[in-house]
Amino acid sequence: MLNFKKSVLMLLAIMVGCIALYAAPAMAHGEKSQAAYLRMRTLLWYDVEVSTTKLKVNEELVMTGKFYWFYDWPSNIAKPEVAFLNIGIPGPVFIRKASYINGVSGTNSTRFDIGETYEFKVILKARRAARVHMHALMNVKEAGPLIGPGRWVEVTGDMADFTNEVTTLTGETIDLEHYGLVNAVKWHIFWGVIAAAWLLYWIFQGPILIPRYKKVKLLGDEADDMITPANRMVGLVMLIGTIVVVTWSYFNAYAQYPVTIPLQSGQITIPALPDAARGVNVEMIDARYRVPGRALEFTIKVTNNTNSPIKLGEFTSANIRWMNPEVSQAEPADSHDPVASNGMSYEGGAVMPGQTKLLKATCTDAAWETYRLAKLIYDPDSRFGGLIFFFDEEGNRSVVAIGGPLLPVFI
Amino acid sequence: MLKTLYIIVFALMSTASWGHGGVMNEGNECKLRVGPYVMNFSGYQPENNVSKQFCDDMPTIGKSIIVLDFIDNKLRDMTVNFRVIKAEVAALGTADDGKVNNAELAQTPFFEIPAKRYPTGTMTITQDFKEKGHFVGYVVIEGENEKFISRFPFSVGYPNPGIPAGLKIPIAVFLVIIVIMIWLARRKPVVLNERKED
Repeated sequence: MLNFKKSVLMLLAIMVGCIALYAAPAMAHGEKSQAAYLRMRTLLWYDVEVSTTKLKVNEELVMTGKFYWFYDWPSNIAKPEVAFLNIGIPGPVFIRKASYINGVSGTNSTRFDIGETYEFKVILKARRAARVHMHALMNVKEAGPLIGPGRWVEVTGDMADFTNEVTTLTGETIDLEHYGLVNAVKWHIFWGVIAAAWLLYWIFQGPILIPRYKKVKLLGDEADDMITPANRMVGLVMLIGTIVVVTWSYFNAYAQYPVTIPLQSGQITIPALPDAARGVNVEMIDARYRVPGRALEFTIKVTNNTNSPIKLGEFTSANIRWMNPEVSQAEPADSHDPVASNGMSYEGGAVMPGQTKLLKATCTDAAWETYRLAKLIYDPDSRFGGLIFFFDEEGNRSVVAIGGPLLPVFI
Repeated sequence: MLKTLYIIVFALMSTASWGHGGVMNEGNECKLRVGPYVMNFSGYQPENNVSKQFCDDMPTIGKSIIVLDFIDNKLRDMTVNFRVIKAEVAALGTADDGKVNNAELAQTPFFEIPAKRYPTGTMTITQDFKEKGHFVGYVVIEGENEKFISRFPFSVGYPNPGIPAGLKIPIAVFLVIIVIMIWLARRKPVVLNERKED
């Protein structure tokens, strides 16, 4: 019969096993799991495009787009004092050849200004065959990754054909895919063998772990006697040997590669793009979320300081787009691109140059629920954010950030 | 005591996922499976439980709103027919709940939303349930060359008396911690070997 202790341990083991078996494979990489306010009120991405969605190993893909740092930044999220533009892909399917923010190299981490817009360009080279959902993303220190729109991209070909050749400062052409690999493996094996020998030696020098701890307690001040003169000699040889090997390897590497530069870990500040609002001012009057209808309804006071009449064509937030097809049209780029092609409508018509007018807009789509944005109404402050796009008769676009408290309506 | 402990742990752990026919409560989401396609299922009773969201069963009678949000975008190009039929018994909690019954489907429905496309991906059904009872819901989706039917029994006016699903795992973990604490408290303290005097 089982005793109490064994029974408890067995139950714990069963629980751990059940939880492990219950865990389903993760098919996405977290874009819906981030809190709604985080996606709506931090980094707002738009105009994100990829140069191709099908390519072969060694071919390049360019991702471009813009991002806006939302003016009503959540107080509990670290501001972008140190941030790094990246691409989120499951596994090393691509390598990054270069990245640019407003034309400046994105090699270093960057400081960004809240309330400003930047454009980016990332050049990738296909490394192995895969079909992946790739996202633009911004890593912000102490805030984590802020994820941009995703695109399905398919890479075909053989990874064995992949090359990543670069020319060094000294004019030598090397393939980074294999460069230094043999040397790295050699040194890993060397230190692995040394470490294993050291470990094995001590395993056979008397009691180990808890029995040794007990013996040390028992011997008290005389515990040092457990270390024999032979043990001390082996330790000394190991110490001197390690120092000699490390010193020799350092000078040997320096002799082989006398010209090097350190890893780039600096930080730069990049000036923002000109104001994308182009003279259109918007004031939020009120906003409601109609729960059963899956609709955001907001009233805004718009002042048009441009020279042309403008109409409301799009609302975007959390990488989802609600289009007003009478003004601006867009279709989903792929099966997972959340574009509500007929999702937006508004009352109020065009805003004439110099005119101030109230517009009442409605953004409807199941995406509010399926992308978990509706969870916003359960937040303590229930504030939303997003970008609205106005278009004049010539197709010129004004991009304005809007946001504020959101009142849920159930009836 | 051990038998009781086993029963409690297994009973609580077995409800991580449950459902009535096509409607499944997966984690914190209520999903309706129709063939290969998936929708989010949300039930509201704005007059009695304003902000609460239900998964198939409605605890009280009165005005009820069911919202189906299409997770698969392909459903936006298909027609969706929603019908509810009165039933004699509640959901069985077995695989039979999801089996389509053609004779049942041929009955005159209690209410029905005719087949229609929903380009915004949201279908909203409003119904005033004046009496409590058991029902069977059918969702029929039809595309160019495909047709799928999902069946899910549900009840109206029968409040769920059990422990809320979201609390079951935390309670199980809490109980296990209590058991471990009792076990540790009853252990004899470790006594190190005394050094023997020569």
